[in-house]
Amino acid sequence: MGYLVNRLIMTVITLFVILTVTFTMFRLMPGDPSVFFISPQMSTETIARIKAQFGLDQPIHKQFTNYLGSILHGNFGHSFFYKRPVLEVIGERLLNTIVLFLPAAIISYLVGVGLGRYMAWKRGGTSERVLIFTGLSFWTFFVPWLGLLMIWVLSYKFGLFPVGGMITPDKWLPGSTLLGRALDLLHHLVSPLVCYVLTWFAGNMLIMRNSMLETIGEDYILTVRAKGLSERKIRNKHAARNAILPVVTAFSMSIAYSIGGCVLLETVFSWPGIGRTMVDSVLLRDYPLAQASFILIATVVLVANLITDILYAYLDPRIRY
Amino acid sequence: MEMKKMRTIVIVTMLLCFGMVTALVIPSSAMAKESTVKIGLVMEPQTLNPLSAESEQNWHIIKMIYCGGYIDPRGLYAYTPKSLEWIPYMAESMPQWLDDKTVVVKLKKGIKWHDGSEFTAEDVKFTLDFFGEFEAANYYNTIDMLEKVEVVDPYTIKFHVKEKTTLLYYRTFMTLILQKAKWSKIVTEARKNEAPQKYIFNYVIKNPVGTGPFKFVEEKQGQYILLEKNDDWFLKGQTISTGDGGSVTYGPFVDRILFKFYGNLSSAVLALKGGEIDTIWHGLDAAFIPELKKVKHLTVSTKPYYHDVKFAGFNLREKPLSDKMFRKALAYAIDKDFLIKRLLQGYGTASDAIENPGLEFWYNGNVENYFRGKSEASRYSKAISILKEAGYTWDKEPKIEGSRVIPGVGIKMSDGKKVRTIEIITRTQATNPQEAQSAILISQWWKKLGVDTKTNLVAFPTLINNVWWENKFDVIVFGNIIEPYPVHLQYYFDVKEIYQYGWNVMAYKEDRYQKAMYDWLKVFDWDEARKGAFRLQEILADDLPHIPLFVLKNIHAYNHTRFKGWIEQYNGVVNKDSLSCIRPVK
Amino acid sequence: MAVLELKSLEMSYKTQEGTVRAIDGASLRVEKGDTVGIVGESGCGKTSIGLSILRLLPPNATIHGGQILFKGQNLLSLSGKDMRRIRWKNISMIFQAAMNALDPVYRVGDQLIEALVEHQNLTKKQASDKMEAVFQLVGLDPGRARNYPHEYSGGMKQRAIIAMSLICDPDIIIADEATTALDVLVQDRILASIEKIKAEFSMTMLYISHDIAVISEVCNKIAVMYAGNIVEHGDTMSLFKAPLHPYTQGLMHSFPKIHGKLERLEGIPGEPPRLTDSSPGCRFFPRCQQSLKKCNSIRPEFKEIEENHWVACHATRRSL
Repeated sequence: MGYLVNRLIMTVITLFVILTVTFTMFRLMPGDPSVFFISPQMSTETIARIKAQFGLDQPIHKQFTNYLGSILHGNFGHSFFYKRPVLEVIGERLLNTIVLFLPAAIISYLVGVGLGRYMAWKRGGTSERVLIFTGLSFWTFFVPWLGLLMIWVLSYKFGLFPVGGMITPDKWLPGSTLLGRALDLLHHLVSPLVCYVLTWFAGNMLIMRNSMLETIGEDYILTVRAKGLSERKIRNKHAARNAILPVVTAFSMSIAYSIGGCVLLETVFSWPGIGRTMVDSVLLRDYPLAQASFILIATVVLVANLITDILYAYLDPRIRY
Repeated sequence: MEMKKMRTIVIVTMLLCFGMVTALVIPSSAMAKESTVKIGLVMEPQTLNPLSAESEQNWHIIKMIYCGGYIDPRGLYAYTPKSLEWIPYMAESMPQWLDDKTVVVKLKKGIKWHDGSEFTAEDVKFTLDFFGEFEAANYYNTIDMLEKVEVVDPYTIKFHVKEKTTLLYYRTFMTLILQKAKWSKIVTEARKNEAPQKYIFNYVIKNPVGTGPFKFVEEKQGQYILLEKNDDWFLKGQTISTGDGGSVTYGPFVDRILFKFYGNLSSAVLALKGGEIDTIWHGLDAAFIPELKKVKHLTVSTKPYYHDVKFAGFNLREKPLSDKMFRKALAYAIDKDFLIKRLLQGYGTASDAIENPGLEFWYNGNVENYFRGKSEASRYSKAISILKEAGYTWDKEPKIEGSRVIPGVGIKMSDGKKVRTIEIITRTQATNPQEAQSAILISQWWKKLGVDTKTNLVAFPTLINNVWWENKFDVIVFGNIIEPYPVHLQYYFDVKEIYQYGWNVMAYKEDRYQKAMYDWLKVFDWDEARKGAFRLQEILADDLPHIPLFVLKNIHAYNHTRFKGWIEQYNGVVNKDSLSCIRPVK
Repeated sequence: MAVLELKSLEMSYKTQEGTVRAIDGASLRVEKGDTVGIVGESGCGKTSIGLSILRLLPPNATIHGGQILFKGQNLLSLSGKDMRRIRWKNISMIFQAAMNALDPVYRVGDQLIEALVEHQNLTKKQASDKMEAVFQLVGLDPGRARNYPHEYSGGMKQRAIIAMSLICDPDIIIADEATTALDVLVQDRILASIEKIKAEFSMTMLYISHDIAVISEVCNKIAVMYAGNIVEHGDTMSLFKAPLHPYTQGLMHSFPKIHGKLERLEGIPGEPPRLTDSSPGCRFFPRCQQSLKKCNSIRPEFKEIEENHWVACHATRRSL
């Protein structure tokens, strides 16, 4: 309990720091978003009046306190670029991103852990070398390049999957069945998901393999073997169960890292997620959107860390908070 | 536990495969039977609010719903589809001038808004008054020459103007008109708000109502927008002369338009090649042409891009760039043909005047072209001699040896002061590769003259800030928007536009140009106007506030096996007229 | 019939320095109710014998000769699956490194039950009862069964491991340095409880240790191991009274001085040979003070010189 409170306070402080840094960072760059609603032909007075309405005329510290105040009221402001409330812009896209990245992260994690486990168990074999080589090759692949290659082969050459997007509008018109919609979504999900898994499984795989190799040498593995347990039980119930601990930590780290990959993947597969919106918001000085996005990323990373800690404590009885 | 996990993975994988297969097999519903033009957009539109929409992809959609506007010059009046002469559009006849300050416009009867109500003079007056009251940035120039708008009867409007100029046609008579019934409620709310402009600007239009050929159906943010045909469109079934001897018959003949958004051009092109979409409403890179031409169901069309002429503009406020001779020497050093050949792979046209060479009626091809096409040695020797004549000296003078140019170092002005580093500012490579790469090449060419030049690639808001708002720049490489009628000859070069936020950022203020330009604005005769525009282009080519560089070819490709009757226009083959006229191929 | 019998067992490890002949002909008999101690210096192959019997050797080890007979059945010819059935149910083990022999992520009680349910078809209740019974047997509070290994002291862990080794009522328990890592006081207490259990259930044990004092306390028979060979095997009493092999003699000679670790024998000059060397003669030859000529070239046979007393030495002339 004390730990949780502690953790929560840390989270709030971290968020505040991130908020302050992003807020000032954007405003230190020359140029502000009034380019969107000011015409060069307007008189200076008109421009000043309009800028005032968007709060851009005030000194930075005033803008900052105003901003903090409205955030506490749950108001993240209006996006300058999308001209709608920031939460409305982010909301649906975030959901779309989650639809893609949660299953992708989990599958790449399971695949990585499964293969790492297998490799450690069969160490020294050809399959291990092949897996390490393939894993690392995909790992070092440039995501857009791999993505386009996949689109070219799977979607264009063989016509198996749509080129991009999340749904086929034809299949979502009124009158279409829920099953039809779900299948259509799945159909769109396959390529980006496979692309993600291919590029990210190697990390988990190698960590799992190393961790597993260490665990296999432990005395308690000899004990369970002496107990007459089957190889499968020894591997899964004891060796993998202990080896997974460092991989859990790596998982929360990889969530933070994969946000970068998320931008590229969404761009290549035209996935209507949050990644691209975030990049655009920074490039276009869309302060409200960019700030909200940064807070969002920070929250995701912090929450992922928190979940990892809790999970770790659950998985490893030696750790108690 | 682990075996179960493996089992789960296998089951999930099988489900995915199953999903894939079934999704292919399930017949798509209603839309399959109807004709739907599927158009890929490379950027997603952000808003359908015509007051705050500024980017091209927003306007592709807005202009199919409304008539007229900031990128769609089709309001009360329009241009003929090909010869680009003025014709009545929602107006019934050409405007009648009562005197130099009053003009009367009569509207067509029976034009309907998408909700079935009638389009009247009240809507026109409401719209212009609204723009005036709220100082809408996109429409600011539609109202700044109006004194008053008066409704004579539901189909007659009287405009009281500050003076009789052609600008009024382009600006006010072609503006977008909003529906009074819908917008007066929004305006009432805005007036009550403490930040009225902000309220209007951020107003989310969920269900736009216009008078255009297509009606809004639904939007899925970040994914698609669906429109359906407007059978009550006032031009439906009408045949209009294109002005070049041909004619077009307006539909719309397709049931729906689906705008689908792709995250990048490469995927959209693959979708086009694979038949997932029928066309892409976005200029394609030249690099795509060979592969697109190989696809049997596609037609590739190239037209010079009407939208902007790329230029290098000078800040004339300070020496040495305020020296015309210095600018001329810089102009001789630029190899436009190299830019076209290497940078654009031939898919562009060099421009000598600030006008689109594709608009043959307005483009003056006989202005001074600064040895375009001549050898490097001859261009540089001319540049060096001009500089010498104007009193410039060097630490080490550039020299011509045979066909080679030996670069100079440390150019000095006639007063012996060193010319400081010249900075070329432009948008980043990612935003606009042609501008960025041109800037880099130009800086190399100028360095050979001993002029220390560097490039500064910046984000768009920074560019606007430094150039337009603070006027802190030396040279800008950018694009000039070119309208079918050459109004840019006024607004990029008018002395009135020099003030802090004006368009004339170079601070160009030659009297002979100002006088010629104001005379030209009063010319309503088409051929006389052309002569005037030619003269203005000549003066600009001599004074060189800008060095025009090139226009890009606007490359469009479409699936000719699905729809026929596409119309090639100055802005490419994918345009509002095409979409209003194409028919499904049976 | 002996519960366990090794017949000239040969086993070697492949390492980068060459083949290590860790067990080079070892023979041994364990009768029902016996507690046989294997004693020898570190690295002489004691532990390898324990692992060989359960066939738990690492992948680089191979058994290339001899037999391991469990109730007359050669374990070396069993399939992996059949061998698995024998493990713990018939032959259980108390491991050397008690500190680490329990899986840290499972409750101690559950680890005991795991062994039980693997081999016997019991209900949860029955298994849990049995677990509690063995906990009590080794002097552990059954209430601590729900704790994790890190919550146990070293002595408690060792008791838990002993409890675990008992849980399937095995025919024989192999204890490998069962008490070595513990401090003397705890060690004594645990030895006492082993004694108690042994007496109560007439347990058959193979007790591996380098601590000759412990061995002499616990075992009724002793096998002396030197450099991969069992050089002498017989009753504890006769071995102590009249050791036959020169190495055993040295060992016994030094016994009064050492109580604890048998790192290096002060009574015998020289070092044990490297196990990678494969000289044809007696392994003890370089250090032997009674060596004959042939000792260097011919490996002495492991012969029963008296009843239930085997020796491998050319110099031993005593006959039955």
